[in-house]
Amino acid sequence: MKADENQKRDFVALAVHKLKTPISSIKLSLEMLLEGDFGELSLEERKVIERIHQRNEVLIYLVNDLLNLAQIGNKYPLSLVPVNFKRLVKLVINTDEEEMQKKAISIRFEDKAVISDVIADKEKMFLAVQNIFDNAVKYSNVGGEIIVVLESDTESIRLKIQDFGIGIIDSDKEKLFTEFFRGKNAKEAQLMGSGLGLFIAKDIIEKHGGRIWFESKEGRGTTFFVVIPINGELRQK
Amino acid sequence: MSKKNILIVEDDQFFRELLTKKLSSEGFTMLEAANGESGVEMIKEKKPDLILLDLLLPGIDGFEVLSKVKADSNTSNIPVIILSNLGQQEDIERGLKLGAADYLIKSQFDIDSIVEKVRSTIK
Repeated sequence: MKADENQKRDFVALAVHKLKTPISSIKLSLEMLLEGDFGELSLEERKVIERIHQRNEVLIYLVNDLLNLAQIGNKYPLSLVPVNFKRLVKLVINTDEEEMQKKAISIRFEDKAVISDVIADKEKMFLAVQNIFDNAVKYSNVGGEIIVVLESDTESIRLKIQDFGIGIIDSDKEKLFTEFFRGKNAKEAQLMGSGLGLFIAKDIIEKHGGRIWFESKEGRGTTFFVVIPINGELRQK
Repeated sequence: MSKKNILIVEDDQFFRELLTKKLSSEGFTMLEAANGESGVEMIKEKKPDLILLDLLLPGIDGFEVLSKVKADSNTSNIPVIILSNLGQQEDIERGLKLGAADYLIKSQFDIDSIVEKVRSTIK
């Protein structure tokens, strides 16, 4: 049974990886078009190509999510180094700046942490925090606010990401961290997503010996809480 | 000063042609190989100033091409930039350990960054 499951995941990883080839070529060609490498573009052409490029970036993001998922199933190894968690959180916020501007979302970052380094897998931890923060942006209303609070004590770093968006309906709460699960109101609002982000985030955080949970009210918003032990107490499954 | 030669070893024809067009317009002379074997032959014969190397190739893969380049004293000092969609930590470490000058993940680098890396590596 387990071997079958691993074979299936290897197949998925390979298939997803193959998707990256055309997507990378599309990315490169669109960037060259936008740079004028194939001649001048009209304003309208430029606008359309910019939009295709944006959509393609979303595709890259989704494909990476799928690949991460397939690899999670194969007990991915953590590559542990000291990571400045403050900087990591700021970087995550920066990467979503464009999207926040589009939705006129304001951000409040309260940095109360005395300690900023944790022992972690930088890429995986970045992915975990990014998945949580992306959701806050995605499910916020236009003109909304996101509050990010970072705190620390001698044993752990605590991260809180709060939005005031669509929230999670009560009957969905139990399944929120389940693979491929998407909230009913998220689907109804036609907000795109793979249903993998939180599943992956939870897996990564728990592999670092950390915890993730949330509080939410439909129509009022959601707050995610993450606790990461500073010394990286690992729980390789 | 004569133009610098760059060999791109890449099996995706579209990707190869795009990059060839871009780097030609940036003043480089481009050589192309569609698989590992012809890549190794061209490296020996033409001794390019830089190699852009994909990893997943038909026949011998990019890691093997890189090993051969670095094992041959006639070619070992040619800088190799890996340009691949393999982005796992272990692939990156393996590539750099084998002697790659840099490792770029295709879907994560825009065209300007790729050109910039080529420029800074080739000088």
